[in-house]
Amino acid sequence: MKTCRDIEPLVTPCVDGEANQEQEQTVRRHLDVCAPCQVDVAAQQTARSVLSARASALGETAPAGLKIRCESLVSSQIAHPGRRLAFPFPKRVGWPLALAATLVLAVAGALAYGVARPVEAAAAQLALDHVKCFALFDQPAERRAADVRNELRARHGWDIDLPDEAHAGGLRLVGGRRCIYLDGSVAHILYKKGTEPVSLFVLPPDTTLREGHVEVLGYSAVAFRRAGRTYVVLAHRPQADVVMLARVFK
Amino acid sequence: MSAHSQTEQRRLFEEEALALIDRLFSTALRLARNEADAQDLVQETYLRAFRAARQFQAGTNLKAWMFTILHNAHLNQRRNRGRSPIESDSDVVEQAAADPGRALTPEELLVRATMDHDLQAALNDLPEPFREAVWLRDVEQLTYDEIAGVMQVPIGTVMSRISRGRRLLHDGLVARTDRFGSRTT
Repeated sequence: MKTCRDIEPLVTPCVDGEANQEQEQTVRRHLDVCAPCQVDVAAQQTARSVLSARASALGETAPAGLKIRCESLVSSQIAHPGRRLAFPFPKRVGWPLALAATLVLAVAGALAYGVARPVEAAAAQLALDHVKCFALFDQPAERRAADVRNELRARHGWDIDLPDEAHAGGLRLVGGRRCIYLDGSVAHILYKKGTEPVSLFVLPPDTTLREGHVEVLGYSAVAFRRAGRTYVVLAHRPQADVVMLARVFK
Repeated sequence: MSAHSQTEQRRLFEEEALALIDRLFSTALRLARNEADAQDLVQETYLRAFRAARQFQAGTNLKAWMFTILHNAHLNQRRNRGRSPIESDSDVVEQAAADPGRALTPEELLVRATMDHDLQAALNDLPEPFREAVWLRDVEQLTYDEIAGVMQVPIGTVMSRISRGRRLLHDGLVARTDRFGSRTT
């Protein structure tokens, strides 16, 4: 006579109706004489029936936003960005006023989102830095990636990988600085696409920000991780444009 | 193969993979047990899948392949958060599995008495290796072989995890339906 241990490997296929006749008989003969196993197999059968009966109710529909994000990962979109990015921005007037308003809004945004929405709060903070850095510091026409890299290493000890001019996808590198966010541990790389400022933030290695897209106050931020670091690309552009800009750095 | 048909094949692959998004999301929810992490997992899964598209052998099971990537992304997510990796044969798991007495409940009664939220809660209470194995088998209807591939364990382990998982699920359901007095006799 088979022991409880002997029949154990046969129970799952039996419950699933996938055992052969001989295996099934072996199990049945044991169950006839072993009440504990009988109870056990019945319990497993019940669990299986409950789950199978409710399988469709347990299924969830993926949120629309997630679907869009996943669809945007297909090769055709990555290989051929398709349309050219255009930044038909009006000439900016009254910087101080616009800057002040944005600062207030960004701070308010950061506070309102609070801890419940840390990604949005972080994006609002970064938007603040973006505005501040571009407004307060003069930018040269273009800088070499190697120079900015060396400068950041010498000044702050950071080792930051930047795409070379040829691979920057039309983005002109105009500067690299240390920003105030996260106690000055964030590298802020300043780019321009046409006349429009685009920021790349490189967060310190121990910081994790959830990957994804966030829109705050007309700014779109795309966060992604690469080689153990979190990067955020931010511009005052619709999300789809910023997603494409971010590909340069991925 | 011509460049054109390669592109076409790639497009089909992506289309088929994207059609699985609800299945992947449901399973990711079951693994991560919260929506934000589940969304991250699914996105990461597609990112990895599309990057590794050339490694997928056409004609083999795409669903099982995607579930394998999801499984690995989940392990990675846990590791990155500094939680201990899942050890399927840890003491906790053994203890959870070795539950003493259990009541014999008429199957139909339990099926009828079980609310979906009870079922979800009971599933979420299962230790992860059991939860994943039972889910892949009874909800996603993968074969033992496919589950062994997804979870990267021998087929015998898959069966014993399913067995224990179902047993634990049953006990959890009985406890729940008893507690809320929804059992009618």
